[in-house]
Amino acid sequence: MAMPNSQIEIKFRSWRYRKWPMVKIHVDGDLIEEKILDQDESILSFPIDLIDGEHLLEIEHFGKSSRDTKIKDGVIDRDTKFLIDTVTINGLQLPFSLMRYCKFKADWQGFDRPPGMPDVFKQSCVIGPNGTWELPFATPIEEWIIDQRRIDRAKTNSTVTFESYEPSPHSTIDYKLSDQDKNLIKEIKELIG
Amino acid sequence: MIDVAIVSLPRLDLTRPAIAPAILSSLADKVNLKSKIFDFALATYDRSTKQEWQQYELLWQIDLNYELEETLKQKLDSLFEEFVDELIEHNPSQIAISVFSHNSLVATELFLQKLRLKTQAKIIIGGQGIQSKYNSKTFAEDLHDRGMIDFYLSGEAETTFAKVLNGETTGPGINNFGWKQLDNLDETPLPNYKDYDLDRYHHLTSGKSLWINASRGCVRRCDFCDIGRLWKKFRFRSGHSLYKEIKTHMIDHKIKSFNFADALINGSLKAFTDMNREILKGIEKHEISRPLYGGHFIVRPSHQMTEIHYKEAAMAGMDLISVGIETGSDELRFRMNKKFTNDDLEHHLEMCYRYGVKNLFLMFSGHPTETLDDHRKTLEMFKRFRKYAVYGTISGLECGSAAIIHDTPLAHWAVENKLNYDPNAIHGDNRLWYNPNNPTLTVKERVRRQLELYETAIENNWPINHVSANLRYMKALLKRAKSQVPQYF
Repeated sequence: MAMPNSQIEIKFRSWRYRKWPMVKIHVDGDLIEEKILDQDESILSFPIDLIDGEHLLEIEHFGKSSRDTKIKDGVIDRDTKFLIDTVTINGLQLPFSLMRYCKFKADWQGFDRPPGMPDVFKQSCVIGPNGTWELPFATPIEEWIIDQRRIDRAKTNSTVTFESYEPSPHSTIDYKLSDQDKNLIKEIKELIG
Repeated sequence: MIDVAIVSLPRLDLTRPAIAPAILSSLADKVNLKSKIFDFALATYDRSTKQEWQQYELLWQIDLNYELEETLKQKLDSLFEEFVDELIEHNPSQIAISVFSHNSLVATELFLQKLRLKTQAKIIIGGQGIQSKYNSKTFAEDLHDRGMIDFYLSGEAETTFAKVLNGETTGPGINNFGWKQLDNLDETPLPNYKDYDLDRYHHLTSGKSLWINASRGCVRRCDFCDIGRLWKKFRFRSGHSLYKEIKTHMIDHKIKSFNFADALINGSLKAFTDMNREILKGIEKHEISRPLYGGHFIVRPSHQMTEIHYKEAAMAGMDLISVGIETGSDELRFRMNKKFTNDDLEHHLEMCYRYGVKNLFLMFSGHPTETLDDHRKTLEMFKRFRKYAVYGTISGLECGSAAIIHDTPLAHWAVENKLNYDPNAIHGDNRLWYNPNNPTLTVKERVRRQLELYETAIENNWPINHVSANLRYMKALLKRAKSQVPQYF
């Protein structure tokens, strides 16, 4: 049997009123696992085979009803909910800058929807109502993390790299080999014999 | 018309203006002489094509003994004629040339050959490069004996330059190497950057920046390094004096980035901490915004450099540091006298990751005592710390090959252990050597290992910096070894 090429680990923190939260984990639409988060802290880890490219991790919160939330004096007193604390893919915990691409699509059916509550919560890792939390990612994960950092840096304009013939090591970050570099390596290998 | 022309020449890092000319300018101000800085290192870059500049970069590296093609030679000649004419136009009565390192010798010689013919001005040289071995003397003595210069100033300019400008002709460090090191660095003047157009420099990743000098000397004696030869004592400035300089430059030049020119910014952990706390106080008082700073940093054992040191440093602006890792082998690193392990390095990286400090790793392959097992450990290190490369905590790796620099502990060891190399030759970063006690470590094998380090680093998502220049150098070195010293090849 071929070994899976990826490992995803999700760390949760959970709270309950009547019952613990229940989740289904999907990757690219495929259901991977169902779990009751019946501890204050739990870790869910699973192997998976992924083709290089873009993917979607979904954590579906299901089975909760209005009875799982206790309201006292108009505010939530106790609730069944959970927090997605960290997501680690192939040993690399996703930095905050990437976790903020997540969003939660709430499913308000069967709930007393509090006024002003939206259908979609962006950048939220705390899940109260039923619904699906989504996090897009790409593999190879290492390249994705590095590329996203490059994109973020360009967007925020936080880095100025001078267009020099040969920037000094202090003037470059995350340098990528050019074709000219690759040719030079080839020539050196030929010289070594 | 000016009184003093202050000149810097290739090969220099063009990220930001050199500090030495700015200090000389300040010293000239103190004796009421009008000075002007000519940065011909930057001008060489600005007035060359990419291909020309890359060839010149090989020429400056004195150990390569690189020959330019005739047309390029003529072009460079004309360029330096232009520089001399530009300078002469200002009719200075004194000309000071800063010789930054042994890789400034070729340009200095070329410049002086043209300058001497066209001026009667007093010519003064100084800088660390003047002590380089040249025609069996020092470069300074050789130029002086040939009448190319009038004065050479050894050691710190603060103790000699103003005196020579005022007409003194003798004293410690004036036409001799008997200079005395300053004990109180707080007495050094504020560098004067008024002649520089900062926009023309190649910038730190975080924007326009200036050098700053917090200490001289080093608390380590790494076997390959010549700092210990140049600076016998480790002396550092007070946190308060550094803060004052940072604040002045931030206001005067509207910049926020600094790079320390020191051998080590945390050589004195006490002074480093004091400086950070002074900066933090300044930020709290709204005197300055948070600066960004970098410099050479030594990894210390975790009990010495604790989390609070990293936290305060990061809050005070420590942003991108250069760290001499050298190798992934603890044993070899201790043989180099570096005094830290890969476990210490892991603590350092974890702290930097936690507080958002980027690291440029400085390494080299093929130390004369490096075994294949040492090399293998370096390859393993790339895997072990891969996550920090992915997260950007390791934002760059510069990896060269081992050089034996004149009068370093390694050079003395090489003579004692009968390595094949010429300790009296003109050389800078001498990479043409052979250790009969480690016979498989030929030039070719060292380059092979260097390439293997590059490839393994790339496989593990490490970004390699400065690789193009290093590759061109490797190619030129291999060609030279093959044709001139095939027994080392």
